[in-house]
Amino acid sequence: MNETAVVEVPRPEPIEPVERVMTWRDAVTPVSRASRRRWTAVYPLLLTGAGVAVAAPHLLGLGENSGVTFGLLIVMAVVFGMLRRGTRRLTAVDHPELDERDAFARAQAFRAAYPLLLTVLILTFLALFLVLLPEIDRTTREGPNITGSESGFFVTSVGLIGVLLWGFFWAVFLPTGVLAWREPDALERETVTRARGVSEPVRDALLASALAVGLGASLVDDTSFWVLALLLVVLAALGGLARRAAGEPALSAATKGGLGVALLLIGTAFALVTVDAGLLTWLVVLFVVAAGFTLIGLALKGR
Amino acid sequence: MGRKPKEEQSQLYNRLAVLRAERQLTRQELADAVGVNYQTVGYLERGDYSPSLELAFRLSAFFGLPIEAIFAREPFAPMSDQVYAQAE
Repeated sequence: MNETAVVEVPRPEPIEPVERVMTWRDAVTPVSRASRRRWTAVYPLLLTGAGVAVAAPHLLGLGENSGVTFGLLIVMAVVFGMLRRGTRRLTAVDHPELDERDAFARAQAFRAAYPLLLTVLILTFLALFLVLLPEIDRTTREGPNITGSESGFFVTSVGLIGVLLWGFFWAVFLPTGVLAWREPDALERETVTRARGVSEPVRDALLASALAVGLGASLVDDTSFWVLALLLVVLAALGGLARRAAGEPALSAATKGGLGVALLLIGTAFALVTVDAGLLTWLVVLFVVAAGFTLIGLALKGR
Repeated sequence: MGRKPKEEQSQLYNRLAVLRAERQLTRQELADAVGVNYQTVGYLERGDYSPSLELAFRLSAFFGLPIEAIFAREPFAPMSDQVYAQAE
């Protein structure tokens, strides 16, 4: 029988569980790689759709300055925000918790993003010159009483800004997209129980449905209002469910107070603008104001 | 700087999960002890990441074991098999 040596292992100080308030942002942050990949695949489609809606709206059957374009930008901001939060430790510059693996993963993501960006830019210029930009002939003055002509592609200053913005959006998205696509599933904190209300596939399906229905309604109504309204409802619902699942009230006292004040202001402004409104309108205004007072009361009571 | 293992490259196997469990350490505790994020400990244990030489040495010093007792190019045999084989 061999003698066994007992090695004293230094034990670090025990770590206190982190107590923090669950927010709607936590509820929509993708944790699994599958969820991150779903949203990473969606963003280029949205960006391409927005690009086409601006550069060649007739291809999508849209008019000039369609509300869908703004709606697409709202959806893009939401999706990009989710991807950033899903990879936030790695995408934050000089994050105190970045270690050698994080730095390596980030460097690899940028390395992969460069050729992708180059490909996008080449395809963009091909599309511009082959499809989008009109070729024109113009008369040139080459001297007194001598004129010539030259042909070329015509691009307006607004169009040029659009192309620069297009490149900028891709340049900002691609490193984050590559990182979100590649990063393995994140580990749940051992010391903190994370309750999220609904599972990630359900959450993704709900959000995607709200965004798709909002965009569809915007196509019919030619306004981005529906995207924003549905998005806010779903975000609030997901946040509330996550907070309830984490054992917290669905709305914090601060949120109740803020919402109450907002409703009071909206109700008052509406009452001042529509003095000669009908009974139904006044009932709605009264309901909004009463809801505002109720929320403020609940906020004060909850403190 | 470490490298992410690729399929065509030989993977680096490790015993970190067993060693950590034997010492009843959480990932966070081990991570704090060797100066990395707790997620990185998880990725190391799962084989999603191969450590740099420096991190391998830090882990080796922390556990008080030679590097080859923690990392290997071939899968490790179960520790119980090795212990009982030595005992016999």
